[in-house]
Amino acid sequence: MTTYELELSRSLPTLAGLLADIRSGDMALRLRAVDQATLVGATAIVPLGDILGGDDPAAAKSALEALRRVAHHAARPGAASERRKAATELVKLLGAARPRRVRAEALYLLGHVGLDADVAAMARVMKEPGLAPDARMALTRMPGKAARAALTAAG
Amino acid sequence: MTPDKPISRRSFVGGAAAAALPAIVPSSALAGRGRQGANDRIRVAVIGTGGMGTGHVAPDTVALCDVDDGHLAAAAKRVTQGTPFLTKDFRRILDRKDVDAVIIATPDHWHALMTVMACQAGKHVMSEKPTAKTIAEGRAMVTAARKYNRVVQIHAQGRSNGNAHAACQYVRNGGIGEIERVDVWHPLNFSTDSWGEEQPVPAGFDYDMWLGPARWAPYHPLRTHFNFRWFMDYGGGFLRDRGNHALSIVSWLTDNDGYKGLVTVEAKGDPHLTGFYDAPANMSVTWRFHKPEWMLTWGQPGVPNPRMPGDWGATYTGDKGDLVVLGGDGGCDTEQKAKEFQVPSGGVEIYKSPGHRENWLDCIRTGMRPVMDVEIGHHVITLCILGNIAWRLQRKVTFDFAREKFIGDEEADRMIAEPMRAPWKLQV
Repeated sequence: MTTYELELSRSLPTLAGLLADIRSGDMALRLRAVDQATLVGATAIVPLGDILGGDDPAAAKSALEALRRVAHHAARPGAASERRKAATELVKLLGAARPRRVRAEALYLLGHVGLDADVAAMARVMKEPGLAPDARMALTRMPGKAARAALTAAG
Repeated sequence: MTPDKPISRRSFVGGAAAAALPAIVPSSALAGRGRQGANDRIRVAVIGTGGMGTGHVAPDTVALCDVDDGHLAAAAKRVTQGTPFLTKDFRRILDRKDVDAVIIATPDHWHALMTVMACQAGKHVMSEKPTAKTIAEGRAMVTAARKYNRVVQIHAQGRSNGNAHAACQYVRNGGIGEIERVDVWHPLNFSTDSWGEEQPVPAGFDYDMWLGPARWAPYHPLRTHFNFRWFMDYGGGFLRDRGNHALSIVSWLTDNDGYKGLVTVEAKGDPHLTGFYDAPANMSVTWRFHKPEWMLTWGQPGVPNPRMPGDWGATYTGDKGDLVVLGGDGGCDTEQKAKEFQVPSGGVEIYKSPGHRENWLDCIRTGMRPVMDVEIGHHVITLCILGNIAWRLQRKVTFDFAREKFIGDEEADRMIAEPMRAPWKLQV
């Protein structure tokens, strides 16, 4: 590791630090956390989803913005493996035990960054009346035969 | 187009609706397809009668639609010639044979769908700005206008403003030389400290219809009337709202309406973390046009020009000088040198609109394209939407106007269209 890389690694946020900043009541720390969330990457997605579904609306809003940053950054051109990891983590947020808000946002982001491998999990949500419109919209946004087939099968 | 069952004319003709029918021969019966007779009265309905819609309700409006009973009742009082047909469902307006044209002044996420459906129903349209919520919506509006031979004007009325016209003639005739850059300044987006906890939907307000094609969200009053602007799902912040005005003037003055080349866009801005609005708290956007090369910037708050400061405006800089234009809607102003400018012999004469509504009605009679034709509106709003996409993605994007696709960014391409919540579907 070069000296530069060492310095850089010291300045990189950790997942724990990121989540602490998001939960803090300090707006400057929250803004910094949103800006730096992409440096933590896909591993932050599920913990951010936990905060999004929690009782603190201010922390939830910061978590939402951080979640969006992470997902969109992972889907940038030339980052296929990051995108794959991010989509896999987003699928975990579709779990039925999670609040509607979290699951709806995960569907929305999967519509943007999701891949064929994620379609089956998204299609299962189409069977739930409360989230079916969100799942349908997310699958409609996705290109590819898998999403089309899921929509056709759902009728 | 909605997959809902068509509404039978029989279902609404009768009672108050029958009383509202004007005692004139439908002009469409007298003129050719797509045109009214020169002296015919064009019977106009207004869809969305609160907010911007209040100014569109004329004394002779034949029909009114709003999802809020309060808006509808207030608008009905402003109609003094006859009794307008009232409804909460715009499809009942589109089904009427006594409506020649509609003004759409709903929240933004409805503009494209209503415009397309109105064209399919044979109505001419003037739709409030912003033109559309997505690039695909704007394209669908253009396609519908052409396919059904309807006059579709976007109500970005700066194109009918005398001062903006003077500025346009000044710049187009070389008043500042070759354009190098345009810098727009504008106040910040609104903020709130509310978290938008779900509240009961007020009596008389059809919230599901208000949401329409947008994804479901819990009701809160700050989500709907006026403040919908601060949500990316509906309004898209000032960039997609007033930006439609400001960038309309930019596109007009720089002769950019027909630009089919590449533009590279970058955007920065802090997320709004103090409340449930999700348009950025502040924003700076840069568009770099490739051929010819010039740059456009949007600054919230940006830097007002000290020579002519105002709430919002733009400085146009060329290789021979510069010009300030304030506003971009009906309240444009510019510098004296542009107001006093006389077009030289052989110079560029820009058509002067008699007024935005008048121009639209004239074009319905003549079959001409209006000053803010939907295709121009689509071009302008595409610029605004690109800024919001670049902000949301937090990366530089390059868009090809000819193909209406991004260059090498598959995720950005997914943002060209926005899926609609069932049962709504955009089909031309």
